[in-house]
Amino acid sequence: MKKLKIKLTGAYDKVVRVRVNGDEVRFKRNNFGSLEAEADLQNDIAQIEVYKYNEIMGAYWLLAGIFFFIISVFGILSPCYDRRCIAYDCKFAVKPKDDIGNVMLSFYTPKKHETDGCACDITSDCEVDVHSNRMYVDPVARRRIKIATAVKLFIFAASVAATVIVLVNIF
Amino acid sequence: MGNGDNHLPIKAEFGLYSARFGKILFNLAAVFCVLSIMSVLAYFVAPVLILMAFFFTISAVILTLGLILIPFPDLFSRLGEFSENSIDIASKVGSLWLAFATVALVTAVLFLPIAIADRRSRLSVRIFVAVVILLYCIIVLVIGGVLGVSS
Repeated sequence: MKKLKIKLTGAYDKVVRVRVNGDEVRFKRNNFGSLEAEADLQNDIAQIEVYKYNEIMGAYWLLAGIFFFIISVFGILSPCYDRRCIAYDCKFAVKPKDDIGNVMLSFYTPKKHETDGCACDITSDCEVDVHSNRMYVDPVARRRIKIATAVKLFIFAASVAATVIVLVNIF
Repeated sequence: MGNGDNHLPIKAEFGLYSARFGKILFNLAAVFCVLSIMSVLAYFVAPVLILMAFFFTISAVILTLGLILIPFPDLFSRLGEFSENSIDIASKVGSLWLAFATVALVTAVLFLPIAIADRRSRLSVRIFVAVVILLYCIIVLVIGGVLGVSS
């Protein structure tokens, strides 16, 4: 059985995930800060997919946003959403020449105001066929973040108004 | 996934929600811990805290105004007298509530960076804030002890 060693460098804030032939690969951080993993290959060819989970793209994004906004004392105790909304569209087919193949993916840091660009450089001793290698700003996520912010502001204003009305009535 | 279709699988979505919930609980616990420590400290060193709060505030104001008003020596000396009177008043007031207000103010100021900078719940920010609070407590205790012994 062939093996594929995958190394990620410059992975944007540890949220990049990789699948090899449909199975998610678990990475470990080495002493130099890069992520390393080893995948067993059933076939000679490994289909590598790079992707990223964004919380705002979930089915219950608005309900969850409101819930966490309330329980975190108007968002003070809650970490903010990733406002850049970077998504990855990377697919590679890798064919190791020996029993153990090495692939290194060096990710670019997304530049400010850049909405589309190359995601990573691929260095490998295998045959690599690049289907797509792109990172982009997800417009749906951007729109959802704006909606969530507006809803939270409305809830905050309504809460303040309700508190003031109750206090005025009491005193 | 990764091909323009960025919708989350339901399992991954709830994984992210539970991670967020854990971070909120952690932040809440940190806030309660610090507040309780500060409250206990305030209870034991309340007079010193009041004195220090007034001393630091008035010193800062005097220093700032002094730098601006160096060409006016009379006004500067009057401000000095005012600061001495204020410290006397502060030591006489000796109210625990004022100490709590001071502690709350200091805590709020210290936690402001978390609210602003904790975009991704970075540990370094918490460590920084914890160190600042610890240093503040040590300074209060040491100066309080020195003042207590000397008086």
